[in-house]
Amino acid sequence: MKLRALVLGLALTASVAAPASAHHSFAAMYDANRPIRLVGRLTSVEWTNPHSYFHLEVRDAQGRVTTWACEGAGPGALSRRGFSRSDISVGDTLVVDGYLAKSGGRIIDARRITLPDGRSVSGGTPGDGGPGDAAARAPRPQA
Amino acid sequence: MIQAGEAIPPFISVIYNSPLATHVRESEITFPLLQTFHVLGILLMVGSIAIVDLRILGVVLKERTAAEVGKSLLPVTWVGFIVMFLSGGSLFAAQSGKIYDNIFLQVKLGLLLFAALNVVIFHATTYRSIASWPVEGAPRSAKAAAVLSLVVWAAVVVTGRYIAYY
Amino acid sequence: MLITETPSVFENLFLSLGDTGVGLFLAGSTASFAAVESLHLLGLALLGGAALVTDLTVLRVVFRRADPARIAAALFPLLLIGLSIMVVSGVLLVSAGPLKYWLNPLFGPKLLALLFAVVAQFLLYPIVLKWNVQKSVNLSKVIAAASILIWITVAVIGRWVGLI
Repeated sequence: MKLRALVLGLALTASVAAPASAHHSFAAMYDANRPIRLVGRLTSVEWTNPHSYFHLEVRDAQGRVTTWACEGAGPGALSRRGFSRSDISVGDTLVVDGYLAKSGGRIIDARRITLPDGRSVSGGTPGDGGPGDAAARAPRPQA
Repeated sequence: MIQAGEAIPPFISVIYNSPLATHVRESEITFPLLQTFHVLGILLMVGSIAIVDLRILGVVLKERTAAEVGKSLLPVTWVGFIVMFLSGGSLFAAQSGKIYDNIFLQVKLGLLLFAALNVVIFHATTYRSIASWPVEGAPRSAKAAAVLSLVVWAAVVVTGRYIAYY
Repeated sequence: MLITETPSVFENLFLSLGDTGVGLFLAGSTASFAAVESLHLLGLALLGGAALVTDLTVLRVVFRRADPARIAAALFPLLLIGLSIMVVSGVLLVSAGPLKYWLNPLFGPKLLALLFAVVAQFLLYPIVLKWNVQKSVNLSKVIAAASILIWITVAVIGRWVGLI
C-alpha cells in the first residue's frame, strides 16, 4: 500500500510540475455581446483541424496595420458548406463577421466570411459551446 | 503555423510535422472520424472499467463474483483502450504543436500515467487474489484501487473535454 | 427543422429554453458549459457501459455462465442513472443556445435515434425473461444486436452535431 502511494504520488507530482505556458490558448472563447466586422488582406491560411485560421492584415483610419486571426470550422465542415481552400488566396480582401474573444486578444470567432467573389459562407465552428449565432435569423414574432 | 516568439520543443515538432500528423490535421474526414472513435472509446473503455470498479465496491452485479466480472469485462476494456490509444495518439500528434503547452492536456496525460500505474500495480498485487476474496466484500486495498480508478478515469474524461476551451 | 414565419408552439417552447436562468448562465460561462458537456460524457460512459454489457450478455459474448435476464436486471439501475444524467445534461446544453440545435439538421435525427434506442432497450427486458423459450432467446439476441447498433448511432450522430 505504501509503495502504491509513493509511486502514484510521484506520477501526480510529475504531471503538475510540467511547465504551463498558457499565454497561447488553443481555442479562445468569445463574447456574444461583442460582434465585430473585420475587413482586411489575407496574409496566411491554416486549413486545419480542429479549427481553420484566416490571418488578416487590417488597416485602421490612421493607416495603422494590425494582424487579426479569424477562427473557423475544420476543413470537413467548411467543404460541406461549399467553401474550399482554393476559393481564397493570400492577398485577397476578406470581410469577416464574428465575435471578439473574451480574453481581449486579436482573434475572433469567424461566423460569416465574405469571399472575393461576393459569396458569403458560414465559417462558424458548430457546437463549440460559445455564443449562439444570433445573426442566423431575425427576432421571432411573438405568438 | 508557429507564432513569433514561440518555440516548439524539437520532439514535439518532429511529431507535429510528421506525414501522419499533417494528414490528420488537414483532413476533411479522418480527423472527425478519429474524434468519433474517441467518444465511442469512452463508452467501451470507461464504461466497462466503471462496471468492474463498481462491482469491486459491491455496488453492482452482486450476484456474480468479482473474479467473474473482471474476467468477463477486461477484454472489453482492452478493446476500448486500443481504440482510445490509437485515436487519442493520432489526435494528439495532429494538434501537438498547438496544444503541448495546454494545461488540461498536460494534466490529462499525467492522469493517464497515474491511471495506468494504478492498473499495473493493482494487477500485480491485489487482483491476483481476486478468486479468494470473501463474499462479503473485497479487501480494502482493492476497494481503494477501485475508487481511485473511478475518480481518475472520470478526471481524464473531464480534462480531455476542457482541452478544447483553453 | 424548418424556420417558419410563425413559429409553432413546439418551436417557441424549445427556443424559450434559452431564456431560462440556467440557460443564460451557461451561455455566459465557458467553464460551466464545459462542465455540463463533461457530465454528458460521464453519463455516456455509464449508460453505454450498462447497455453494452447487457446486450453483450444476451449475445453470449460476456457472462456466458449467467442468466442474461438477471444480468439485465442487475444493470438496469445503472442504465437508468446514466440515461438520466444524459437527458438532464442534454437539456442544459440545449438551453445554453437552443437556436444552434434547432437549426442543426442532425439534432432531430439524434433524438429520433435516441427514442429508438430506448424503445429497443426496454423491449428487451420482458422478452429476455423467457430465456427458456428458444423463440425468446433468438428474439432477444436480435434486439440486443440492434440495440448496440442504435446506441452507437445515437452517440455518433450526437458527436457529429458539433462537426457539420
